[in-house]
Amino acid sequence: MSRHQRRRQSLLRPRRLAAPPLRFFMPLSLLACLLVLLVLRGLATNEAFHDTRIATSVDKTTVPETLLKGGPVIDARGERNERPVSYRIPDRTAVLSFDDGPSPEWTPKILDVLAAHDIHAVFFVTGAMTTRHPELIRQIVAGGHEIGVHTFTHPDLAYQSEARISWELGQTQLALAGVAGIHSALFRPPYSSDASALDDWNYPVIKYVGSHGYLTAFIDRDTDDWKRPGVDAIVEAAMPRKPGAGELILLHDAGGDRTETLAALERIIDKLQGEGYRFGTISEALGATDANVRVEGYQLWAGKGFIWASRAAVLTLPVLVGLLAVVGFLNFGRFALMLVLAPLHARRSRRRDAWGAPVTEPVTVLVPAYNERECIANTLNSLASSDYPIEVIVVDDGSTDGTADIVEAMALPFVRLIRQANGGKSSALNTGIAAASYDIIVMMDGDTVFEPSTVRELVQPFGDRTIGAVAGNAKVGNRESLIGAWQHIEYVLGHNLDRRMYDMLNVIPTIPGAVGAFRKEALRRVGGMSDDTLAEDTDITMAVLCDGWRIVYAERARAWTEAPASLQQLWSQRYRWSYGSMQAMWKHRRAVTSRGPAGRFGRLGLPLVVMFGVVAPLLAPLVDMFLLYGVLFADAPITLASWGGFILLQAALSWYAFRLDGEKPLHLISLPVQQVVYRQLMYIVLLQSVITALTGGRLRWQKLRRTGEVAAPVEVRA
Amino acid sequence: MRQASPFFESGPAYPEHLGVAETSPQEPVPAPVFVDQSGLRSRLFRRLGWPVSVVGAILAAVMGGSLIGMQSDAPAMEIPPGPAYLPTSGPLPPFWP
Repeated sequence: MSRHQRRRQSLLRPRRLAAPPLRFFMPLSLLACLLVLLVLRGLATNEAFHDTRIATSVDKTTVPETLLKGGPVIDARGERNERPVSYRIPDRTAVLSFDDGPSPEWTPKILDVLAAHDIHAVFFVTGAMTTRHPELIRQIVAGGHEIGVHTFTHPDLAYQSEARISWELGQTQLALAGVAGIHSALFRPPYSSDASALDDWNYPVIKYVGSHGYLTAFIDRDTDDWKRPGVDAIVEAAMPRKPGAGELILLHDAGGDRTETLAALERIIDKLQGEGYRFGTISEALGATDANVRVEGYQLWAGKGFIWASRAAVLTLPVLVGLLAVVGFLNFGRFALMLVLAPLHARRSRRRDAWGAPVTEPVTVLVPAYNERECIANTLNSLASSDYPIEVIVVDDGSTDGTADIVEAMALPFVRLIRQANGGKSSALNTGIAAASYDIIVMMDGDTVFEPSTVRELVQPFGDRTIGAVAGNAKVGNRESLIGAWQHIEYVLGHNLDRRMYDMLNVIPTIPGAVGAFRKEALRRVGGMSDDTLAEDTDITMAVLCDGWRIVYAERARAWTEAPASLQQLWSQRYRWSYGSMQAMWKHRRAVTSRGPAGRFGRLGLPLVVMFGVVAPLLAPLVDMFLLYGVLFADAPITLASWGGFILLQAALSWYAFRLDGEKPLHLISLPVQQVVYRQLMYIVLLQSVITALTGGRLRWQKLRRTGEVAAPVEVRA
Repeated sequence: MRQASPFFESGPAYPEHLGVAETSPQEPVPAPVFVDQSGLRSRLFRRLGWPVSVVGAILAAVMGGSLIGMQSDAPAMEIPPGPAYLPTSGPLPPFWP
């Protein structure tokens, strides 16, 4: 969308920078919350920091022989860190241990079996599962069973840094404190088996974990129940190698269908009890003090906070995903609409006789000018070479830089100059409309340059009596800089695809101030330009649509305009545009319930503009949050690949738009960077103007609205 | 040439500089779209916005903090020296020799 650039504000009244920080602080703090919630949810569902690699090492050169041949429980704590010792489970004692849980489906059933036999077991739980199923942990603890730490995300620790291992331990303890008010001194590394499997890679892990005060519990008998080998095989594998030997048995209560485990458990207990075995926890078997210790104070409350936050995160995620789906639906819907409608439009515009007999009668070109010293001569010179009969009216809106004098000095025979006291762009345009001699009025900006054929191309659609206005094709002239190139892409996309789409639906919401044409009759019927909004071009376009006129897009009517060259100028321009467009939408909100053409626009055009122009950009930060989360915490390659796919899709569309517009696709190389800088700038601007609109704040440039001021337009034949 | 008569049939904003010079400054001017002359909405935004943002920031910091700095040390667990013995209490089956 291209509009008139009002320099008057930036020159005369520099924008005050003392904007309340709240309008930046609030979105930032909410976005920060969102990102943290995403990470918490990702942790609970074991999506963040997920690592499925499993190390395979064979060398055991650093592992003491005594450990390899010793019992399953290894003590590398305190002064034993240098020379770890291992403990065996006493004879005729069996310790049942369940890994990877708790699982809402199987853990309660296993607890029932254990309770029925009145025996205690050990559950090595992951922090993620603990966070998701707090009530199960409480049930386990209430049943007199022991909890051990099985890390938070279940990675192979041989691959992880010490900081990561420490984090896995601490985060799991935090979760345990939060759900059951306990910390555990027991640890079992993921993917572990018996002590003889210790190797050069996982031995340092055991020592490191020992230095943090953990007792590592390997196993004696691995039932391989997770492979579902059949109940008999599980029972067989759980039996001691030597009759009567103490044993630590590994079973699983999560990670899939545990029907076999459940059936085998009953038989293992019966069989071993028949052989005189007794069952207990690790601390019971070792005669040690409790492995699960109550925590108080800060640790307890930090844990509770973590669990509450995680639960909130898991609950809010569907909402976030729903909003994300809305964004995706809007974006892809827009793309799809464009892909269907733009080619239709392109075909129509190739037909030279689309609007009936060629229009040849002279038209009025209106140039409202306010401090356009640098550009006005170029503008008028470009009009001088027009290949269509025109009358030009320059309305000088009280310029202070001698713009009017330049126009006068040029003494072009087809140019009329009207001087008026400063009254704003709308009033300047109205002055010009009132003075226009012809029935068709072309409007342009004082900083815009037309091609010789622009006016002719622009007015041809008026051959159709139902057409009340025509939008031209504004092009960015200064596209060498990065910021210019981004705007160039945006203009080509916005004109060639969006406007073609809107044209085919007959709901073009904006005729750019830089190049557009109106039937004087249409302008008269809607009451001329209004200064109710900051986007008088959108306002008048919507009014003309509501009045029942058709508005079309003439792609060959090109106007070259100078886009803002600095970020600050761009910011202030877009601030005004988005604020002004929203004002115009709000002003015409009653169209939604109107009858006739106004109702058609209100029920088709307005929702489209609100969705694509306001809702989608306002939700866009959510996409960036998910992107950030995906890259930093979840699966970076997949995230980047899907993002790249989206950019490719957009690039393909942009390429099509460039082709339709006859532009070289060279500038598209800055598209990926545009996505990570420009897009954000655009939605921040929109958010800021939405906040201004909601709070009803008065924009600085609105103070330009004059009331009760005498403004005698002076007409001068130049 | 002066613009004598309004050209348009209607148009609320239009006459402002054409022929309405006599408008007294006291006459209330209709506020532009969205502008809240009373400043009520702005005050409401500030009154609600600050607590919301501050609570949000604190929540983000606390939740973020719970993801990094924690106690990763295990609690103490005493294991008696020598061969492990059996606990004298606990849910042991009565038939234990």
